[in-house]
Amino acid sequence: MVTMTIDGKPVTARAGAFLLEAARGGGIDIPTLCHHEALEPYGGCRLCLVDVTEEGWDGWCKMVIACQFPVKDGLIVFTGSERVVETRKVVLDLLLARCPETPLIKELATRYGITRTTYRPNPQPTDCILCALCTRVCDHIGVSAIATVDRGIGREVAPPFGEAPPDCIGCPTTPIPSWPAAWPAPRSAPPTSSLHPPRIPPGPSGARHSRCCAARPVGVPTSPSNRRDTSPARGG
Amino acid sequence: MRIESRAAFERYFKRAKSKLASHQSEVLVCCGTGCLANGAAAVAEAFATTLKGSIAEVKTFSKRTGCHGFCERGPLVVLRPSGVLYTRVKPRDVAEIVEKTVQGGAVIPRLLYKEPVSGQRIQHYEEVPFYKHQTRVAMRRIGLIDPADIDDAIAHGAYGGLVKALAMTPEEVLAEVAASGLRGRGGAGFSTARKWRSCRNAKNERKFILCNGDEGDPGAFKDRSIMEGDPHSVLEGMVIGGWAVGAHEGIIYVRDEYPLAVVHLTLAIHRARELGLLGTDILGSGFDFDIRISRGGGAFVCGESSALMRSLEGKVGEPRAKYVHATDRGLYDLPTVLNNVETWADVGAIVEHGGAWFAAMGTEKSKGTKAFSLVGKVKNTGLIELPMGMTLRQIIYDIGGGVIGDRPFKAVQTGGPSGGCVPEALLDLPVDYEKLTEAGSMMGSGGMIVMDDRTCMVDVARYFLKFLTEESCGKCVPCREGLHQMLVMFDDLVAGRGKPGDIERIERLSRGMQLGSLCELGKSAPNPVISTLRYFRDEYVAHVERRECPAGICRDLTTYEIIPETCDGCHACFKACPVEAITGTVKELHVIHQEKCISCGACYDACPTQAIRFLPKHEMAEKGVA
Repeated sequence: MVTMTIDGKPVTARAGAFLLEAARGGGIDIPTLCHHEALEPYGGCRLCLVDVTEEGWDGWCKMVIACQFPVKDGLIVFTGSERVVETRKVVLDLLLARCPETPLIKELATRYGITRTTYRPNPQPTDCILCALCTRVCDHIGVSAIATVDRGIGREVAPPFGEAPPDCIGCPTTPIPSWPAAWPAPRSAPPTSSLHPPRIPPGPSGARHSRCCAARPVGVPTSPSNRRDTSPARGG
Repeated sequence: MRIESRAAFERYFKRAKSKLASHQSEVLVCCGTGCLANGAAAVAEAFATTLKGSIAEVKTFSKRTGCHGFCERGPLVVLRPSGVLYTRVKPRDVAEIVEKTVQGGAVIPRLLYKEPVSGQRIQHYEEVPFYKHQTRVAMRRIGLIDPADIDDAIAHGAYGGLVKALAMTPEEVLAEVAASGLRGRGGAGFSTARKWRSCRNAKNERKFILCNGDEGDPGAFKDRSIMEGDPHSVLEGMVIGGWAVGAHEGIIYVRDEYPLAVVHLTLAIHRARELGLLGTDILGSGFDFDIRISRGGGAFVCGESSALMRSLEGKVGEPRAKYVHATDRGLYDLPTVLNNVETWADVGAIVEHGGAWFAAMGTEKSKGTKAFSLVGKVKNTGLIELPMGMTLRQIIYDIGGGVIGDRPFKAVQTGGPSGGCVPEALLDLPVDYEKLTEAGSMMGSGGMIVMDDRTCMVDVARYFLKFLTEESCGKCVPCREGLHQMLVMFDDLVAGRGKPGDIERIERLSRGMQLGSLCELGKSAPNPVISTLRYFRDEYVAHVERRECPAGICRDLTTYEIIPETCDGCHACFKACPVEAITGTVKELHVIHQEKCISCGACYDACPTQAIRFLPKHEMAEKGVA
């Protein structure tokens, strides 16, 4: 076990854990979007940035992402320092420009005092924040039918060659927000392998939604921490 | 024919050296990529054909070498042992060179380098200012050897460092590298000895030695020249590195856009294996080490160390957080040392001559020498290697020959897209890692882009942002979205759509990107913006508040007019204009028609009497001129 100080509060954690788990275990919340406890940390959204320092560093801090930073005995952590909060605001401001109509992003941004983006809003608004939860789930417990393609601002979640993925088994990861309406619906064979997550019962409208999407997660909740930050109020 | 021991290598070296000496003179034809593009292959061919069967053939040997560095004056030919340097050599000059210089011992003045200020013709390579001030360590053999000939390389000292290293313990080799003060030459400048030490300490049977040959900075070509011109220096360094840290596998990641480097490296590896300098039981030491080549993924971000390793693993080149160092868990999660091409090229020389020899050059914290690609508005464009600590003024003026057209110097951009601009006031800055960082720039891989008064610093920042928006991997929000929004703002600035508060928005986003981005691409992307804001804020203010470009470059903000009192009707502007926007007959006053003018500035550059000036578009509109 290691002992750290987070926001002035002593917190213990198992050796080998990441800072995010330790903080949440100690009742200190750090916002995330691309994190899922069933998956390896991704480090894409940057919301979980915190300031860390150690004895003997003379107060010099470095900013690290809590989801991927290993706990260390004696670590001193600040989850709400001025530059951490400012950087989170910049991230949310940028996300709001990308996804100006997404309820979850608007809600998160409002929480940090941002009601309108200071940047140029996306002329083709999307819900997809490229958190890659869907593709990572598809990789790790699915069939690797989809991936993130292209780089930079053109990056998107897509199947190979932009065609209906032949490997897709229609598991509850789909339909994902950025799935173009023009693509044929994936084959909807029921998952039979024990590896695949159980079916999510359809929502009130009858549509099935992804539970592996940060921007539009519904259905069976995964972890309390995920639900707290990312799920809109909806049946659990 | 394997060389079985260190003693056998000494004998091999002596034989190679005496074979070289048997050629009484050599004609070294630069066949680096730059000179090849300028027709050097035909020149080399002409020498080979002309010398064959001539009286000179018995004594003179022509060689295709790697990059001599003076790219501005290529194709370059150096004759040894006389040291005569001929510039801008054409195939039709070759017969005359063989007859007059090789056989006759006389020089041909028109082919000699002409000193721009004095007009004097300089005969010898060692006296040409471009070369005189250089100290070549990483590039010690480039231009002297045929990179495809391992015997030539060995005769010039290749693998001498390896022989010495294998007679030392790994700890002793590490000590020499530590004593040298060598810091990574790829840009970050991290202590090479520290990196090797932590890999040596990592407990694993299997470790990797990687060479980063992904050179992606626009304007940088030093690694290309080293890989093309002396691939053995890289191989030798990597074997020594493997010996020091306990690794047996080396991989060179070469960017796919360097085909000649791939060819020469591949050839070098084959030759080295034939001689037993790579493979099992090298020189009878019992040490195994082999190297393979991996071609790049076609992305700037693949030069980032963690992205490079992912790319080597067959995955998409995307960086990851580096809280666990690659020396503990790198390629395939195994202990890995990744160093730049130039760093590896330095290693052999350091082990051969000793760490203290290297540390005797340079400054207190930046030891040794550094390769620089000097480009932009400088007279002597090319590749140079200098001891750390020379000033920017010495580099740009003494070696570079000053600004083209003797126009006023404005700034020099160092460090590529992660670097910054250094203004005239800091020209006497000694070049080293610390000094450049203090000035708001960085060493980077050694690119130096010289800029004159006809450069808009807002446009310079925009150029680097455009490059990086296309190269961002897109994984993290601050870099992917931030670069996109930065470019949107800069596109607005150069088009005259700047709004009050833009500069503050740019500064805030810069801080957010520096603190929030996952890797150094995003973190350092704002550097050109921040450094131009630091030294040239007035230009930004002019763009935002007055819709003006003080340098007269941004086309949406600038136009041109002919000054009636000064125009002598020489017609030069008429000929230069690409859109026929100028009318006028010879000896009569010429006129620029605003409705056709595209503000390219070609007329301005062409006018010999400074009878054309640029002015803000709104000023022209206020004059009521159509």
